Amino acid sequence: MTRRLSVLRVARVYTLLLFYYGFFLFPMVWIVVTSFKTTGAIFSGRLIPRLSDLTFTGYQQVWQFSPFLTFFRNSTITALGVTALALVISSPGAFGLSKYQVRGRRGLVVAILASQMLPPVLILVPFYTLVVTLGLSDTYVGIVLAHTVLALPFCMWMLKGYMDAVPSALAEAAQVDGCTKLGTFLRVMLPASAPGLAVVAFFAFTVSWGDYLFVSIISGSNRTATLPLYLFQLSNSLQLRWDMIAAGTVLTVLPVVILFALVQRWLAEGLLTGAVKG
Amino acid sequence: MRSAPDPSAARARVELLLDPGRAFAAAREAPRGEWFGYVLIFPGVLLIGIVVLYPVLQSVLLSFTNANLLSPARVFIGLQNYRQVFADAEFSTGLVNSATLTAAAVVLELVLGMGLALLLREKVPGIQIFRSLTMASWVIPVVATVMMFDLMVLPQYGLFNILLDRLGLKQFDVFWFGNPLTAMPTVVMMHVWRNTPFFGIALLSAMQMIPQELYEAAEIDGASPLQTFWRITVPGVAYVAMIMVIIHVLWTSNNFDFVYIATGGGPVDSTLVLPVFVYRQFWQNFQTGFAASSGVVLMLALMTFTILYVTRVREREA
Repeated sequence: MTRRLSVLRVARVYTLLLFYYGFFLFPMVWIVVTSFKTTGAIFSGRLIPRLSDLTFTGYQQVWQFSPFLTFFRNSTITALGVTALALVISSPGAFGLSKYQVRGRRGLVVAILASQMLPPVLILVPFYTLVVTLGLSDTYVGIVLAHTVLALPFCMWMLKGYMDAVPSALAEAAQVDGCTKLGTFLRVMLPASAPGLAVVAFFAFTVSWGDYLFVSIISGSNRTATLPLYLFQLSNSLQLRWDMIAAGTVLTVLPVVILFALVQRWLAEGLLTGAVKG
Repeated sequence: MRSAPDPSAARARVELLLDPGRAFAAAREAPRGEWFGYVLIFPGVLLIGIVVLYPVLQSVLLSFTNANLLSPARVFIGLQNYRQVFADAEFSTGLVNSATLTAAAVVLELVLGMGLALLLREKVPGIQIFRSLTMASWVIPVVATVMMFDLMVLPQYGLFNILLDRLGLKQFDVFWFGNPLTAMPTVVMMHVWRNTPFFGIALLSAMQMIPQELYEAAEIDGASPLQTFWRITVPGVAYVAMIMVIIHVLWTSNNFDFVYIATGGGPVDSTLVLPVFVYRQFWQNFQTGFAASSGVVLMLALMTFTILYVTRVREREA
């Protein structure tokens, strides 16, 4: 709008924004504050903590006296594996779908969208059988495969949207200049869709980092289980330690929030590129 | 440089989704491509094929058998599982709960997301900060979201109940996840908390693509803000809104972990949704065949919804 904003209008916008972002941010603020409280303070019903309510006990308990670090390591290994695999598979796939006249291309794109209709719980049993048959139960490989496939359709769709926007002439010019097909892909297409790659990497990472369902099936023990299972176990123990649950949650969310801060300026466009940009 | 937006291409793609015959014809019409294209897409197709398509087909087959996780014997029993599914009281509860949850959550997300997009469009100082914070709740793990809400709805010590007590409404102090009346609304609230930002950002992007001249013309013609909203903004974002509604109906109906981690389907099945029902049949009752058939019903329901919805939108546009 080119019209100047009136003071009243600005005040109204800020008030409404305050409601929205109060709702979005307060649960996060509340759990961060709780994670620094003593158990007594958590059960005191005080809104504003006193100085004596504050402590690091929750973090100390989680870090030293619980298997948190094992789960954190498992989550990191799995999520990084998923990110790498999703990038390695989806970027050539998206390039092929975007710039090559592959037979059945449109059908494939439709299939990728339609895969969002499948209930994950429906594929659990055959998938479990497959994992057991391949000897992959309770292994990182099994979990990485499952998460990669969860993330892959959306990754390919997003990246295809990005690569559609890279002019075909650019790729053709590179070929004329003597670039091989592979060279064109690596030196022209990948750099040209770098923000898309960042968003896809982030998306794959968060899918893996947050999944509960498939890990709960594939991980028979805590050897390969990831952080969502840790939080689930904490919240289902006989004696609920809310300081530990809060601290564990904050530590689980922290890596995602840091990565989010890095990619956030491309995220919205990246997620929508398939839907809005056509 | 990005090429000019082309909503018609995306539209054509969604239309193909509804028309397998045409999609197949389009696939055959495509000119023969170079071999390198096939090399590029092969790994993705292979992986999705093995890890998604095979299990889905296998599940559909299982749904016609009396398969049980505990016994290896497996007999083809035709449609018996399906008859049993529709006669099952717990399944009906799950179906109703899933439909309620999905409808309530998606409608709220669309309405609140529209409001959010309109706010984020305002060029007030600092709006960029709000825009950049928006997606935070969408990216964090679902388990973490459940823990945050769990903590807020605790009896007596949770934030909700502390506030209720301060307002003198102590009689409403309940464990919100533990009460059959409040459990489902709290689950809806978690979905809304997570997904409204995505709706807001998506609708904002769509609004930003509406040509500015339309608004200027409306202003010259003396249109009221409400008229401008209904005649220009709403039609301008309708297509993106449709995509968002479809995706979120699918994601919400298929979602397992929000409910399973927060309430496990309780109390007294008040939050029992279909994915949790299917999961229970698999891993608690070991009724693989029966579970598979209830999962297939869910999948068919979602396919029917998508096709009906897109067809209606297409008819209204025509």
